[in-house]
Amino acid sequence: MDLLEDNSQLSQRRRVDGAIVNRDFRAAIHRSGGSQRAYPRAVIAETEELFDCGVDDLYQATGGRKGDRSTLPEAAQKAYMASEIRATHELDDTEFYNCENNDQIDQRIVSTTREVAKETRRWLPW
Amino acid sequence: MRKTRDAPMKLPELKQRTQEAWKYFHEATGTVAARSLKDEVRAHFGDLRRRDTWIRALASFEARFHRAACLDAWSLITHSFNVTPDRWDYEIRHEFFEAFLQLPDGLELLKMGLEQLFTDFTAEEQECDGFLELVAEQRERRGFDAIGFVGRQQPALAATAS
Repeated sequence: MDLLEDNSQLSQRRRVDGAIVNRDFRAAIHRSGGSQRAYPRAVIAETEELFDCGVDDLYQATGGRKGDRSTLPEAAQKAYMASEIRATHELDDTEFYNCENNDQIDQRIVSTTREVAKETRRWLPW
Repeated sequence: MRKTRDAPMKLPELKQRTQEAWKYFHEATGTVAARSLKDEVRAHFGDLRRRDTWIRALASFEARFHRAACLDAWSLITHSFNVTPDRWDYEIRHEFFEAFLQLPDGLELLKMGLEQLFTDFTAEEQECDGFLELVAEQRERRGFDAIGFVGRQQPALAATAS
């Protein structure tokens, strides 16, 4: 895609933060046909790959306030952003063929998110 | 118009959903189950032959799974509890919501989610009609506003829910 020729991309202008990136990621999961369990499962998968722990562990270990990602260390927020931006595009570019039901679609969404997070982790300093 | 599920879940589907919720809860918390699902359900929720036993078990595991995976509290409002008739969990929405409220920080997380949603999001992104209906139904069901935030956090929310 040529960004400069895509009016829909050029018309959206505001400060981008982790919440906006996350909303796009969630919307991509919805477009892919994920059920209500796909998003929480994807969050668990990306957190495991990025930080080797669960969501609660991450909040506790970093002194953040559960439920508010802006209270996580900047490095952690950036890691989520990087991974979720990539996962959003990856999900939008993927056709989930041969999926017979929601559970199979969810599984593919979780696997895609996990793979992207794994690759993102390679770029991170920890 | 979203398609409504045709019939309530039968016992085999309830058991299957419970098994999944149990598995996802353990994945989310990085824990290993100390006993089998049946033993767990029998010990905490009662007679395995009864449908309501499995509904309570499913709601409890589902609530704990969504809480454990909660990175952003607002997603509880726009996602987890934004239940619509096409979702399989619609028929257990009250048990699911009430199980979440029983968790030590359940109410606090919901309040935080509403605060985030109505502070930082655009009107379009605040879509949570399923949640608002659920809260309104809860008020009817329990005979009082057990949640406590409708009417205080956001005037528009109170107007929609009442």
